[in-house]
Amino acid sequence: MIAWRAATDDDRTLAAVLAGGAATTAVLAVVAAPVAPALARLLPACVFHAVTGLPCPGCGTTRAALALLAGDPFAALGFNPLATLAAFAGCAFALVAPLWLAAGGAVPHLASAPAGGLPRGARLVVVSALAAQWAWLVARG
Amino acid sequence: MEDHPPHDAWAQPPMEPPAPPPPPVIPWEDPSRPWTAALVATIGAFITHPRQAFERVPVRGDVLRPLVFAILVGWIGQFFYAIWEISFSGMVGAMLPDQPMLTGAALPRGYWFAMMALAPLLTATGLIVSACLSHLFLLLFGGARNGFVATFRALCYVQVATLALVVPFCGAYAGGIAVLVLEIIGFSALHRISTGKAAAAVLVPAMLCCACVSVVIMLAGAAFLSTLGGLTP
Repeated sequence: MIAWRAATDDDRTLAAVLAGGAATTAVLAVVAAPVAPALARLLPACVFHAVTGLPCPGCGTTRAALALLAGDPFAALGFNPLATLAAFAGCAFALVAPLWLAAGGAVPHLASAPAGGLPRGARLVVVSALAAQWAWLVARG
Repeated sequence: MEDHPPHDAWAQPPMEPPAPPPPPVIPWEDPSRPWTAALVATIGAFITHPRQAFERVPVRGDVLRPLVFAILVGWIGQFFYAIWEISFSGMVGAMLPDQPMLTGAALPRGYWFAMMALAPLLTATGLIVSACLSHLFLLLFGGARNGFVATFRALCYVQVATLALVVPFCGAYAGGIAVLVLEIIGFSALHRISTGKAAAAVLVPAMLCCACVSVVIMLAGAAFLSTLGGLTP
């Protein structure tokens, strides 16, 4: 299902940009941590939640970010599991990818995927994850 | 006796019309052009004829060049947005005292200067994140025919929409709509997919993840317009 190909200059550029972006975000997070809760209070409430009484799929992302800034990853997972996991995965990827490519590592890609799409199984996993996240947010209230 | 080839070998092949030459790449991707002229010409092309402009964007190749384009136009837009916020947030904040965050009145000036300075880094980071998210939904809808680089390149040129921020007050709203429209055109052109499929890949995450943000922007626009209407004698 997953095949490997040689890295190109584009891959290395993207990895470098990603690493730079992650480093910038980390620095900004440290700098903004003291004022982040005050800034977050100024954000407007979720209108979807106000109108329907249900959280939207993105609800809890701000609280998750604040929890991460406060060093509480478990609370962040509770507030918005997918956003928290994506943040961790993105940071890990940004850290590893440039080093991996610099060491001559190959790039994985989906070999058996239909043209332009994900294999049925992977598609099911992604949609299920999104649905489970929303169900979790609704159940949590 | 002379040895002639069979008769059919002398037959002329049927005349085919010559294939039309491929359209030239957009000026920004043409290294022979001076970068300032290329920047202006590319911005003009995307504003006036976005479909034709996206069709001239190479699907593969260097990602640094479109990224620099995105950073430049993003920086210009953010610069003007910060200028307008610093200049007018007090006035607009007085009109909408209940919405200090929406009007920018709650934020100190230092925030906007920081945004101006950090705009290139934030643009690059935001592009990577939004490219990952957009590509995921393109994959879900079977529309990622030309790989991640095509998605990334399309999103880089979509940043032209941030130039709407040059217009005070309504620029952010117009820019938000322009981003969605250009994303649909860009994905459709660079991935060679139907507009409907591109629209689904763009609008579904926008509706799922940013429903609240979209509604807030619409409500803020409506509140602002109604306030202006109330001020009219």
